[in-house]
Amino acid sequence: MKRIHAKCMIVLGTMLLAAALFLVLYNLHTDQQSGAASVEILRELKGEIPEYVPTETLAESITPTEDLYAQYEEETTETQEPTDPPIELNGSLYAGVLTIPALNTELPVMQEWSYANLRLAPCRYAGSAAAGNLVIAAHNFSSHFGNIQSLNTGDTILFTDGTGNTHSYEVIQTEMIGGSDVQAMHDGAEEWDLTLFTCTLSGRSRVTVRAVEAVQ
Amino acid sequence: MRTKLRQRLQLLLCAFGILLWILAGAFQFYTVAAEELGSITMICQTEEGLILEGVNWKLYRVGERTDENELELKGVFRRYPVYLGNPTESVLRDAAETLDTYIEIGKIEPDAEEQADAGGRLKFSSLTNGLYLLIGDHVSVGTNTYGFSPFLIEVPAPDTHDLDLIAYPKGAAMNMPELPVEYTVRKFWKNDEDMPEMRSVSITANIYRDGVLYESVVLDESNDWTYSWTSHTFHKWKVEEDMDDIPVDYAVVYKSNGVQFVIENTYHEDFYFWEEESLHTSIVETTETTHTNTTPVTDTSATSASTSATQDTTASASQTTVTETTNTTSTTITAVSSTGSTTGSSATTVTTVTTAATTSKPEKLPQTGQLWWPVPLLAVAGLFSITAGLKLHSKE
Repeated sequence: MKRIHAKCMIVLGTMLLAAALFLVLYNLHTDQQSGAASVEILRELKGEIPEYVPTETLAESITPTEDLYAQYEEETTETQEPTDPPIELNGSLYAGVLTIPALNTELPVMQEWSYANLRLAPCRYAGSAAAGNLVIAAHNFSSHFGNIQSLNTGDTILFTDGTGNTHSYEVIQTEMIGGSDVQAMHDGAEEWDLTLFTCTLSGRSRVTVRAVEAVQ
Repeated sequence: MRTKLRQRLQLLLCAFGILLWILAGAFQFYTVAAEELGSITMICQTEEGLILEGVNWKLYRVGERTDENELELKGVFRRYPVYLGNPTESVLRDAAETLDTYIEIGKIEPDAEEQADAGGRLKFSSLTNGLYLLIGDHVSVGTNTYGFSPFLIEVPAPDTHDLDLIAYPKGAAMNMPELPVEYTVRKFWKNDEDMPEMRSVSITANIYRDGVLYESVVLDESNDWTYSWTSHTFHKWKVEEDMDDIPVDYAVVYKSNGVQFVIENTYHEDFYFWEEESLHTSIVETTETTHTNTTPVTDTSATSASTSATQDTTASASQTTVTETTNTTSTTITAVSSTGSTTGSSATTVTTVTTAATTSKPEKLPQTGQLWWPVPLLAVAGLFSITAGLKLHSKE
């Protein structure tokens, strides 16, 4: 009888170990796949992002004509929060490219977040670089935001928007925010210009990196 | 005897009545004659200073100041929802352009017409107090054609009370667009951003080609209140907005640069136009040419419209009756005499829509973690189970 019990426990233990191993392999495979997808998207996206032309230069290059609708569009945009023009690529919209030199990471950022999108690349969770309240979410894949907790104060983060304009940020702090504390993620927006966040290994909290735009 | 006396008395009373009537008439005549009359002198030139001879200008008396010292449209122009409540320079400029459009489509005859002489000078004299609209025709000089923006001017000048005013309208060169020409009409709502429920769900814009209805289009959110069409030949285009679509408390402004048409409805809290019976037709007109801003430069007393003494005036307008019936919209415009009666369709339909979108923040932040936490648990449990099993097996 004891022999049967012993055999059952060994089989059960083996199955549990196999499950753990399967989960590890699955996670690594997903990580590798997402990383590869991001690299591919990044390669194409970089080709789509135009060379940045400052607004003043753009205005000078346009032939001055009396556009009756321009004044109304100006009035409309004055009341709206500025946004980053997205780039369309293979049927999806992308907000731009995120570069974290300290982690040797460069990633595309999708315009809207969804769980399907998060498997491919980091996603814009809220705000915009133009408005100075951009929040980017990503999985904790090692190829995505898996290492952002190691960023230090003063580290540089770059975000290139759809116009080719590169915003440069400096990390000011890293904090932990509860998984259901949505308000905390948006709080203090006047003190930061960029936020990156991802799950902790437990999935119960979010590693949150705050950064301010560096003065050019 | 008594009968004769009564007859004489009646005759005397009758003669006295006639005398009173004649005296009253004479007094009225004297009062009118005693009112000081004003004049508007204009000197036409291009922006470069070239004198423009032969420019034909039409003058319309469109309104006057009320006892409350406010500008108000009068006569045939009362029927148009044009805002003069806060007569800033831009309000008067928009009002002039909009009234110009109504005049064009309503075929309203001017009160006076003058042509610039060799020095580019012309003069409108014997003007009673009031608000005047001046519309200049295009004029060709060599290969160039110059156009003028219509403008409003008040007599006497509201700030200086001068009766004799001088204006310096500047003609701007007009350019013919290249064929084919793409035209666009666009509807704008103003001053109601926080109450979109006041707006109409849609409006109908009737496009006229050379005075004949060419197309009726519905402008609404689905087409971004915009419609474009292309013409491969030159025509005179007009765009009409159905007045039934204009909500209460909204004034109308029409603008055009030749290829772009603007239909603008602006909410004004103090706009009482719709309390009166009105004619529900409005039209934007343009010609094939484009022109730049040609706001006239007048002397300071002529452009600003602030306070001025209100004087009783007699209407100098000699309105004629013009009737236009469009074949598809069955809208009849009837200009009337200055006595003020107005006829025409006046049903006002206001349909409201609520477009306020509500957004709610999610209860949780996105789950951005891989399933790592079960790994150590499974591994520990597995190792424990195997270890325990091996121990049992060894004891056995």
